[in-house]
Amino acid sequence: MWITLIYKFINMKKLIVSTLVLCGALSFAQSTPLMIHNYSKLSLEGRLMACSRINPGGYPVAFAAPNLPYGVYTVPPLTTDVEYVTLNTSAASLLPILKWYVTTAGGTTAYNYNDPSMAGISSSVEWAMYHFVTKDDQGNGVDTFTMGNPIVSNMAGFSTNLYQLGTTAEAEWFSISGMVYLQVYDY
Amino acid sequence: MKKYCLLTAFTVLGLISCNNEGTAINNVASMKTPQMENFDKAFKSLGEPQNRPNEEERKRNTSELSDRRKALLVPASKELILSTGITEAEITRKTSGDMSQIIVWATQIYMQKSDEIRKNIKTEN
Repeated sequence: MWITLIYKFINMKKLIVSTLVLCGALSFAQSTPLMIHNYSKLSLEGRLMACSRINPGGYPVAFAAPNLPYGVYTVPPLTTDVEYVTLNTSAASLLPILKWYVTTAGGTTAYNYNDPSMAGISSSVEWAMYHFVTKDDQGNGVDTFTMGNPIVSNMAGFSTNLYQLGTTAEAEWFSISGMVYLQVYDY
Repeated sequence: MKKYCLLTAFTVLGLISCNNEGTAINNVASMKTPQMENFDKAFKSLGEPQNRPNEEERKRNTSELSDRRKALLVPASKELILSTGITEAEITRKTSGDMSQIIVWATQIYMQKSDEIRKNIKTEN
């Protein structure tokens, strides 16, 4: 009798532990890497955003601060392999993002990428939008692209496209098993 | 006489290799393995006219890349994974042949290798 009770107890413990592990995995599953491949001869200049897929208002909504030396978040021409594994590791990328502007119901705060708050923010958001203008080597704007996952970006009030054809370039936003890609090509 | 010939030959070889070291272009692109280059090309090929998302694919209500287009990335992904010494059998066992898992695995290997190349360039300079 005691043996069966102990046995049951151990089994229950196993169940609780595995449930907790699963919960942990699910809560972190939302934060997935973003990979940007700009195959075009144009520079991409605009706003990179991540937000929540489930919270009203998309809160927290995080916008990338300009990567140096640019005035807005910029991906230079012919620049590929730009990866952001998470928001709170964004400084390790080929195009480092050092700061995020995070909006919640309480207002907007600027956080350094390694601020302790960023880990929690990072795990509750998904890559949602890159709204950019393509510019030629003279700095002239060519097209405006609002790329992103509409299901996610709509939570923060932004409508985006998975595929867009401009006058000299085409862009697409897609995912492969959670990993998010933004690719821009000349055509 | 033979000795001198050999000695001269080796000296010339040595000089050439030293010369080349100086002129080697120190950037990530020039140091990528052929498998990494093919992996690059596969992703870029998604923008070629015949590989662009078709009408049907654009109407889908998901951001997930279509199976038709994932299939374009699988050969180069497998090649890159195999180049690390992992066997075909291991790939099948770990991914059960799932295209997404193969591509994401290859992407991780690719980024790891790029990081290593970048670090090597930093220490060399």
